[in-house]
Amino acid sequence: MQLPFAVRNPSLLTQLTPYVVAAPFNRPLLDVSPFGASPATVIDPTKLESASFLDLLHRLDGLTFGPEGMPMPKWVFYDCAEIPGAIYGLACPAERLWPVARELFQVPDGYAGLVPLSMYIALPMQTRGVWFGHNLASAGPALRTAGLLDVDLRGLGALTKGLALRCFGARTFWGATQWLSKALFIHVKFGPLRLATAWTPAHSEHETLTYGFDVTDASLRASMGDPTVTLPKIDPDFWLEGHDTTAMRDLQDRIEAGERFVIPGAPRHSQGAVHVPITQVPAWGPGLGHGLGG
Amino acid sequence: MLNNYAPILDSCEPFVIAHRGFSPSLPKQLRGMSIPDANVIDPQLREHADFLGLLRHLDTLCFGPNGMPMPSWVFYDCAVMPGGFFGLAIRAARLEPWCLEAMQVPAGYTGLVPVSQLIAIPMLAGFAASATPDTWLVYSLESINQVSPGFAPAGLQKLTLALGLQLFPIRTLYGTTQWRAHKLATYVDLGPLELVTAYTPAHSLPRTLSFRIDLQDVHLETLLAGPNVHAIAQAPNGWIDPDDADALMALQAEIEAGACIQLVGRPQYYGAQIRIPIHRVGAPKPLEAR
Repeated sequence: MQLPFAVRNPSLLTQLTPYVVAAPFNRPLLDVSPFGASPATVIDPTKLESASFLDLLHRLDGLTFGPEGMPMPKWVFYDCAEIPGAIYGLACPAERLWPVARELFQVPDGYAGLVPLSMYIALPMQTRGVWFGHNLASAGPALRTAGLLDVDLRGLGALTKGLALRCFGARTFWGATQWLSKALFIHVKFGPLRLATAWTPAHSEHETLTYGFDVTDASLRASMGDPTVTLPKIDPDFWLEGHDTTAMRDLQDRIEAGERFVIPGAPRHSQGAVHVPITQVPAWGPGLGHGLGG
Repeated sequence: MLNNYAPILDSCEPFVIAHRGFSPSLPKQLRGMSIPDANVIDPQLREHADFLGLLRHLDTLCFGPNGMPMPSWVFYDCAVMPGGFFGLAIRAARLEPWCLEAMQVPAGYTGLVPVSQLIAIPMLAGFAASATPDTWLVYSLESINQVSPGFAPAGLQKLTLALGLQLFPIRTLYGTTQWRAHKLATYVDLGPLELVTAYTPAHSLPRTLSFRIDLQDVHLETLLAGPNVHAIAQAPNGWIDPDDADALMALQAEIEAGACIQLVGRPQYYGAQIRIPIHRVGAPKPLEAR
């Protein structure tokens, strides 16, 4: 696979092959060759022959989120990804998969198809081009824990999300994550994140933030590590500690009162604490951003 | 037609859950039933935490026995943010003590207690021709009566479906449900359902079906009246046993080979046996129908 720009870890492009899980009625609205990448193998979730691959996808989710207590039931894959939206990711052909990984994924004997090593799931929202992402999974951490220290999957998460958003035709993106989530380091690669919530009782983890950004060529290329793209830098006004629920509630109150904030850059780790930068910005209108009231 | 549902109209209030970027585009009235502004819930505001907690409890009661309660991150990421909820609710003060206990209503809570809900989310296919989606998926339809008969007036699920389908701008409806689910009879009352899948290993319960129906062909009055056979459904030319996985897989194989198969009536019960009428479009008519 080749892209018309440099990425953080070029070996991913040579080792892995793209796939997209898309129902036939959604497939025409997807770009299966984002940025001119080689066409993704299309997996049709309404076909019986896709069952083995979809089971491996479920396994990838378990390897990624099981330890955090948020694995996704299969019905959620089906009802909240495969039928309404799409899944894009990178995979390795089974015959080239490392033996330890075969065991970890519980690849069935005789299976000769693709084994997904990453995936990104998003759902279309109520306006064309506005998407809500709900799952970014990478086998990297699980493979390292299993002892595959020489397998270099650095940058896999960001590469997958960048290609996926182009595949989906996303122009505005929204998502939810926890203040302490390592995924926040990936999300900020797309540029400053608009905050729609800082404390979210509607989510199982109240310490969840809802964030969004405009999806542009520059934001996607920057996220994947293109060194020729530089996104504007914004200085933080203050830092929110990732365990400080009082500060989250206070920030939520200020958002509900009409103030607007962004996360301008990556969190900072020090002595067991995680500090997330926050910058107040001028209110851009009555709502929270594109797709959430303008 | 809503006169038949007077006990629900007398005791229940409609509610909507939609974020502030979507709720202004939704109608304020459904078949003469007003949706008060206070009953339009913004899931991003802290003040609605108690109501959202009760809604999650309703979901757990209804889907927990099937091993499919909705994780509340799914509730947020896959329901209230991309799509919306419509449902009916009863004021806590109007509920009997056993109902308050069943729904685990917090002491002192005086707000709405949800008794039914429908979740609809846009599908990518719905953007083929317009900037706003005309194709939606309903993947959850539930009523407290399915686990606690007598909690609320009968007919709750059907009225929730009929009104919910009018709330969202749906032209083509997709749905998923289990072959043995009682709500299948409610969906079939919409009209002939074209099967998208008959056996679905991608789902937690493989004996799940996926269907679609063009709502232009749906007469909601017919749904609300609930006839045994829908007016525009073809006569069945086959019957399917929902407990026979092999038969469902064979039906799935037919669909994958290009057959158009419709569900054309409610499940029929004969003791422990269940049969569901189907119509294979283009198949020869059975002898008795010629």
